[in-house]
Amino acid sequence: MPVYLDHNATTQLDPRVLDAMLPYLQGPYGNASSLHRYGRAARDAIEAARAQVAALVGAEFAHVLWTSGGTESNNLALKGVAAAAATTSRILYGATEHPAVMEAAEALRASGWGVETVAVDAQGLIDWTAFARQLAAGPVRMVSLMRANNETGVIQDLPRAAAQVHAAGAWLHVDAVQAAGKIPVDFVALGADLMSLSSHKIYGPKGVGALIYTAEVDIEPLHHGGAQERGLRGGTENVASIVGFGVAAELALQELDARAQHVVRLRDQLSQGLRALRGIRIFGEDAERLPNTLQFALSGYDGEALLMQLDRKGFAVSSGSACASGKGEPSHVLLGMGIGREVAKGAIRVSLGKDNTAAEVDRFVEALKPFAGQRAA
Amino acid sequence: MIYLDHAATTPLDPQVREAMLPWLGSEDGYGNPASEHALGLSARRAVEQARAQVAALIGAAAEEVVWTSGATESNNLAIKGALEFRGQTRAHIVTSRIEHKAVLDTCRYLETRGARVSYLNPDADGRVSGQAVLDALQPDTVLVSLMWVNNETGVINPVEALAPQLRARGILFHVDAVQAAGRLPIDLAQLPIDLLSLSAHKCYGPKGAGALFVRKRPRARLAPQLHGGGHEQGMRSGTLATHQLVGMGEACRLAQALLPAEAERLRELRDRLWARLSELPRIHRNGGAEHTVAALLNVSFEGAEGESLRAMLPSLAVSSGSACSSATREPSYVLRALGRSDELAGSSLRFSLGRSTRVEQIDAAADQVMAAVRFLRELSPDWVPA
Amino acid sequence: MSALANVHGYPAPVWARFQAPDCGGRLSGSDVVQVEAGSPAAHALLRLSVKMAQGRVQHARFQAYGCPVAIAVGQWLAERLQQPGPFVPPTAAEIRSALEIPEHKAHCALLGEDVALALLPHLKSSP
Repeated sequence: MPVYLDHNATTQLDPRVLDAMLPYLQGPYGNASSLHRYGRAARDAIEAARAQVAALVGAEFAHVLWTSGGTESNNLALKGVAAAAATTSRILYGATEHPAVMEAAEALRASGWGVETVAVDAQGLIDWTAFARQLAAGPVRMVSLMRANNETGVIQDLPRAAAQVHAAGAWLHVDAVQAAGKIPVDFVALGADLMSLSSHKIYGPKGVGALIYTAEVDIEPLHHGGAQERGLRGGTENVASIVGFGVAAELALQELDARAQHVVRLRDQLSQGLRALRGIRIFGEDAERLPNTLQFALSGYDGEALLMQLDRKGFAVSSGSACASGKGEPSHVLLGMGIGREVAKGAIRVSLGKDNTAAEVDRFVEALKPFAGQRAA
Repeated sequence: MIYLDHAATTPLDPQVREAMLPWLGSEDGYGNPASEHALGLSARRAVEQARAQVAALIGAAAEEVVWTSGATESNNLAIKGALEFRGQTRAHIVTSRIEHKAVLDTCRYLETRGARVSYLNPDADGRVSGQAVLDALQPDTVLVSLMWVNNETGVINPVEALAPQLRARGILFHVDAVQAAGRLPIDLAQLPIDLLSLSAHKCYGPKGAGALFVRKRPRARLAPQLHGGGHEQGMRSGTLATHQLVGMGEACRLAQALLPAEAERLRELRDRLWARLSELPRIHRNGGAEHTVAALLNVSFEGAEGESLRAMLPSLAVSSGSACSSATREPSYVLRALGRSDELAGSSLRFSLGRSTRVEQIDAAADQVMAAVRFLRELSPDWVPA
Repeated sequence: MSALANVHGYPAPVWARFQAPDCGGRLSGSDVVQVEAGSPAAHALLRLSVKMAQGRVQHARFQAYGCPVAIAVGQWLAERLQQPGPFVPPTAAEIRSALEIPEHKAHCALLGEDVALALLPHLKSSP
């Protein structure tokens, strides 16, 4: 069994989540839109899950919309808001956003939108001077910022951003896919108008996510057809996965502190171990970060190559985001932070989870030593 | 409970469930298929095997299958993606009035963006004629979207005859095959359809999984509708839900293996149900008998109001119209397009049979329906026994 | 029919009458009054037939085409007509409250009010 240190890519389904899902994977459970008994049981289960997911981020039950995952949530937020706008203006997104936000925003150029990135400093934090200038430069419809970065784990000061975004008459979309379940996320306190969530990052099933948005937000569906989700997201509901997401959200809320304390201890242990190696650079180290995430580069090493070596030794880590890997391109997150291409290409992301142990972290540091040693020799 | 609503959704086949569980519950089945480490690679292999299974059911190549979250997304991607890729948002589309909401609502949305859409009426038997489609074509028609099998009536549209005609004219042909897959043989190696939508949960697979067939030669090009990460050859981004796709693959494999024998068995049961119900006077078979799939029967009962009829049948899971539009409780637009009155459309029941349906259930269902209809007719002020 | 399960959650007073409407039917004879009311919007038709004797209602029967609530309203009116004492036509609000009819089915109560009002002149003109 490999040592799994890639929890920001995906997590193992919690057995308690699986137990909750199993009844919906057997027996003749209905289409939730059907009027007969099976259909209504399915609908009740979906609504219970909606309350659980809402509770995780302190949102209103009625503001939670199911999607097929974080990517769809982000696409729906950006394109849905753009499509519903009476006139085109500008959409801003952070330079270190997930590709789903980045590419969805960039796709809006074709329909006449001004699309700009919000610059970040060397720690990956918003450049507030530039941001204020950008907001003042003309009308803005929406700003999309992540609560915490998937690669570096760096946490943005979103309440501060929200105040400026709202003062500029724009909406704030928060990609909370990585933050939810790892740190407290409060929809209202963050000043979010829309928020993306994903189930499989919090020990729930893959293939389900949510977009949360307030009643003030005008939004056009991405998937037209059917009256599901208040007409905003057609398609027969994925009942088992939605139920799983709900339970995963409930557990994440209950165990938030315990999980965070556990992984931050392991992360500190990892940092210490890494610092003893030669040629190590840890990214975003001076910023507030997710308790489970640590991205580093071992100088002189290509991240992809190191990743494969580690894989052979039984350690599952990532060179960045799972989506972008395999392309040989250095991480846009690190480039956005002003880190050179050569250094960025060596990046390795370790993302810890609730079931990792101190022994596993020790073994990982041990496994890295020969590489650091080789380099030094 | 007698479940005769397989056109709305099918129960997960136990074999499909077994195939899915290792990708949900096991110690090494949770990798992200896009990850480069061993856990990711084994998930990716499973997803690719499932893709080949889906392709085999429809006579396609594996690389022509794009995963989606279900047929609604497939239909949206096909229609919006095709128009957007061509930069022809003002072009002309031909479709029919009996399509699934996902196609109709997508077309209506595109109309707000400048597209022109011809919505064809079916004939009295609920079939859209090939000639009507050809007659509706205009010089700037870029896409025809037609369902293979209608979800309410089970009527089979002449897509096989139409496909070569549209190919010859260079018009893209999208077929919503959600109700056809696993119920009719489909061979896209022979049939020049460009885009074809599939759903897992209509053929004993999981909900929340679907696919779009996108032909490679000649290549049907689409603009992606979900951006980010470049999964699925750039056509559809998002982390692949391994267990869901493995389930869809296994469901397609089973459907292919069972298809001819199961269709024959269901046809006999369906005909038996119709024979029993025909003891009642003044009932109407929606969609006729000639061009319908084996598993489906749609009947309107004069003198029995729809909601009361449904209330009288608490242990019978059937649909009155499409399950998807029941949420809004409108009389079926499909039956109205066939020329049925609101009244008759409202008093219709759709019986859709499936793998678990047995002859005793058919007989019990017929008894319950006939008793309910007689009871309501008895109370009805205008009912004159024939 | 044996008792049916109320799986769609109709109000209990509606469901009891819908599944066992013992006043269903039509009376005939020179001393029988027939009145009806319809609601095109609800696709419902309600007919009462009342047999009079010495200015009193002797028998009342109803026929209904419509949803379970419309049928229950017919049954409830027929029951009321056969109770001892003078018949005071119920208002829609009274029907709604007696049968616990929800807002989205309020038109069925109006149907009941209409048909009861249609009966009123016949009751007064009886000897």
